[in-house]
Amino acid sequence: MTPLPLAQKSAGWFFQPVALGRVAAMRFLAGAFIWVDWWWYMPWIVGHRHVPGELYQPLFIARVLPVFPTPSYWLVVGTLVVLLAASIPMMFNKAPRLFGWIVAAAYFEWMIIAMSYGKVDHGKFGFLILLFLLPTMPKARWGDRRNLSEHVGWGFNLVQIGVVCTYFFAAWAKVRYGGWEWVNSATMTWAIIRRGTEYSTWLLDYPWMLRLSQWGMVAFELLSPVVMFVAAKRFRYGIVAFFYLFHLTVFLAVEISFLPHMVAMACFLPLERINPRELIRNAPGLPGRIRRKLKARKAVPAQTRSGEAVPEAEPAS
Amino acid sequence: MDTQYATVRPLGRAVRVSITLVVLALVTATTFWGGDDFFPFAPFKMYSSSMELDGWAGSTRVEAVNAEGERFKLTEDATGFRRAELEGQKSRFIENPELLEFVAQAYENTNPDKPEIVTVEIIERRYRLEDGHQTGEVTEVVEAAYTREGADA
Repeated sequence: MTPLPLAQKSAGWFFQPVALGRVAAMRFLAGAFIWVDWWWYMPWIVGHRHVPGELYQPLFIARVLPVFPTPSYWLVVGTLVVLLAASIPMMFNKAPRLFGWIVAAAYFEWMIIAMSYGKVDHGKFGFLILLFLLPTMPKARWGDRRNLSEHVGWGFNLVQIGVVCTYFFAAWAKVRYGGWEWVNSATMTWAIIRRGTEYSTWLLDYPWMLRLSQWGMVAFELLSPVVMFVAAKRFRYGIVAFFYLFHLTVFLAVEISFLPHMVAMACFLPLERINPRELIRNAPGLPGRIRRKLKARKAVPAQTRSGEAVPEAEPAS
Repeated sequence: MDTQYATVRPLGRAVRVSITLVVLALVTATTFWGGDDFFPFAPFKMYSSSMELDGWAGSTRVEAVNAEGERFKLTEDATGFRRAELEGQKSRFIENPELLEFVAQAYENTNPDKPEIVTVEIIERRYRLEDGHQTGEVTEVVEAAYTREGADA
């Protein structure tokens, strides 16, 4: 059977090639997050080593698969040691596939330990997908923009789907659990009473602004899948930048950062352009280069004829 | 160095697209019908409940009294058991307050040098809201309490 052209085209959407340099960068970010996770982002997970097994409430997956025993002191500590030890070679590209699998398995057990005591957190879906897909990708060097791979493209596409699902289905969960009236409810008021900061508590005096922000959130969550279908790169990066700004705002307002989600989301960005060696080598000459660039920019309008519209210079990033 | 372009062969393509579709199907299914129990495929219900504009916004905490008669808040750091986890299992604790014994044990495992706990209480502080504004009206309710047998505090 010959595949239809449309089917071929849609299959191509899953396999848009990605440069290998991005894999090295994402491995580093994922490993770095694991170190941040246990001592800053979710330091309470290791606290479960002291919680008696009677308060352990096994999840569906632990009840079905007999490979997740009731956490004990040594199981919690042991999982953490294996996780941290394996994440270092993964970060620095030593046998990254082998250590990637160890990290993925250990982190999954770490999540079982975290989520089995009466509360499941929901910001790590994309990150878990990332951990399980990184080991399927080849060994890679930072800054490699020459070698392109469809395998990697598929993997990051799935991570991106996970990231977008987190937004899109969060809107649906609001409708399911909160009903359509969620957008006009006092959920943000409640959130700020519980965990407001100096940047947000003043909002309690303006409930209409909080309600407006709820409308905005649902609108952006429902529209988020657009990012998967935008061909223009700049527009795409713009949307991703908006996502990051959204998380910054939420963090300032209620101190919830969704850091692992933001790490997974980084695979939207052209991280293959980053080459740490080059950055370090060029660092001493950087001020001079910026000065030369600015000078060159200033010189441009002088060369154009008067009366001709001068395009606004892009801000130096 | 030569540029390489690695393509996925047709069989690999079929397998990979299937994996993507299975992940999507699972996350869609749990979003519509499943619950937290199906983690990692759980509905993304961060702050998804509707809070009434007129009503009570509650904030739960756990307090303990130790053998020396001191009353203090049992924080996450002191027990390793989180407020949200306590709230998640709250119906269990209300039904069977003796389970609070294990919260006391968690505290003692975490702080072996501190005096033992005699009493544990779950307390909810409720803020009255009207049209989304805080009215300033606050009440506190002890939802579950447990005192160790033989303790005289």
